[in-house]
Amino acid sequence: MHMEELGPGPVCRFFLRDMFRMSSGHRSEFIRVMLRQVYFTFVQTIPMISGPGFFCGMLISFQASWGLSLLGDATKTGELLVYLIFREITPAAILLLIIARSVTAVASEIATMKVSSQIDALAILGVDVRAYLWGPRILAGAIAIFCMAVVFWFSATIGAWFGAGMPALVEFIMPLITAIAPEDVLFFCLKTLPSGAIVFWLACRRGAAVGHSGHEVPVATNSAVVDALLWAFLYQLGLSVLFYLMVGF
Amino acid sequence: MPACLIEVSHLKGSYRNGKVGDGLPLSFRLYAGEIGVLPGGRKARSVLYMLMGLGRITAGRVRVAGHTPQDLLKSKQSALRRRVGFAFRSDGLLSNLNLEQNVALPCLYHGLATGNNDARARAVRVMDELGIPSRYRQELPAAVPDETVKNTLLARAAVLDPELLVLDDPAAMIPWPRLPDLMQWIRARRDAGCAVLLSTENYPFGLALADWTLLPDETAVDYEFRRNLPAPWVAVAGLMEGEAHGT
Repeated sequence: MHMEELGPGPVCRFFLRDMFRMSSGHRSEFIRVMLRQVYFTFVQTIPMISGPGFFCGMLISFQASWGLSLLGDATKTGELLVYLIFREITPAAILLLIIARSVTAVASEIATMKVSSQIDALAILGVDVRAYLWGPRILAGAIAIFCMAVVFWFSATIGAWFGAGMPALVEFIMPLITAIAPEDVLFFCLKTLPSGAIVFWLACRRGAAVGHSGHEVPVATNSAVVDALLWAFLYQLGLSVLFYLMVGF
Repeated sequence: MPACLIEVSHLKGSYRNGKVGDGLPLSFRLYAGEIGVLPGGRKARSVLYMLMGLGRITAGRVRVAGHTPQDLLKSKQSALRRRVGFAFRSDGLLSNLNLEQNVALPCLYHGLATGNNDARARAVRVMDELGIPSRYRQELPAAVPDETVKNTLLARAAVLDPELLVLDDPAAMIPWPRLPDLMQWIRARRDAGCAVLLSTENYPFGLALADWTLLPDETAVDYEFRRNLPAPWVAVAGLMEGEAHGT
């Protein structure tokens, strides 16, 4: 029963139509569960994102300034940072982090709920399982990954400033800002928001696919990680190919 | 004539590993203000889950509060969902909510409460009825004794004041000395006009409560079971009934 609700069609239908027709009780619980999931997935990971982001930015900036100065064109550091960090490294790094930390948590949570009849109980109580379980988590996945990516990018930018030898801030920031085109922002949003939704959707699907035996929980968690890695990276790769074909470098 | 809240005729089907109507198909009716008892283990339990829309019905006709179980399960109409309360045997409490939140949850979803405080007040009322100690009410289900988990499951089933209560082995996890209190609670619901259908492995408990019973491998409900059953069964049930009345 629950697997049917998690097919691509029903999930899209929920977000495009049913989500806006929820009763007030369902809506308030939806928002509460979603905010809690965003808190677990995003807010709690801010320290985890900031450090790697900072070092990633610092190393790339250092290598870029050093390498480009050898080539005699150190003015291109800003563009390189946008190409590398903003477009590619940030979405991929955050995806890895969210899969390792949150996809496992969501898949095992849903699987445990299924095994212990909690999902059946919700259905019998008349609680819309889409609005209580799947919907808030999938939406929270999209929001959280986007926020995480912004924090990562911000940390990486600070790191890059250090890596570049702490030049005057305006001199460092201006080339960066001018290097980010509107299509880069669109690309960043397209790479992060749907990726988060996809990996959380896969986690819910795998979690809900278990039977009623506890030994299936770790198997479902494993499968969710493999699925999420495969499909989300394929999505990001496909999007990159499409972007460079349409917009160019 | 009281309203018929459950109508089952020639039912065959299954829920997980439990098969129903394998040999003889199952038929019964439950009316408002009646307690029907299905003694037995997996098979009796499977009937209840099939009535709630879980499991698979392969033959026969089933109506719960005038609707098929599948319609009932998929219905988003709060008015319909409020008519039926179901209590699981041991699982089913949401592990991330405390006991009070678990009981209040259906009120928030079905428009019976105007806010968290209202839902909480309803939850507290029914938890008081079942004697759930206050010190456990803010605890998660994993942190409280089995008996309290069981009473919370019953409270959640009853919090919407349904017309029909379906209870999966209400005597399970409750110590014997506390069973008379539980019997009184179930009878009070019945006396208020609620129909109660329960499965139980505790035959004396079930027989002491029942208005009718449907023993395994029988196809028709027995309102005269006190005359038809072996004397020792009826004697034990009578003892338990006396306990419940405080005699």
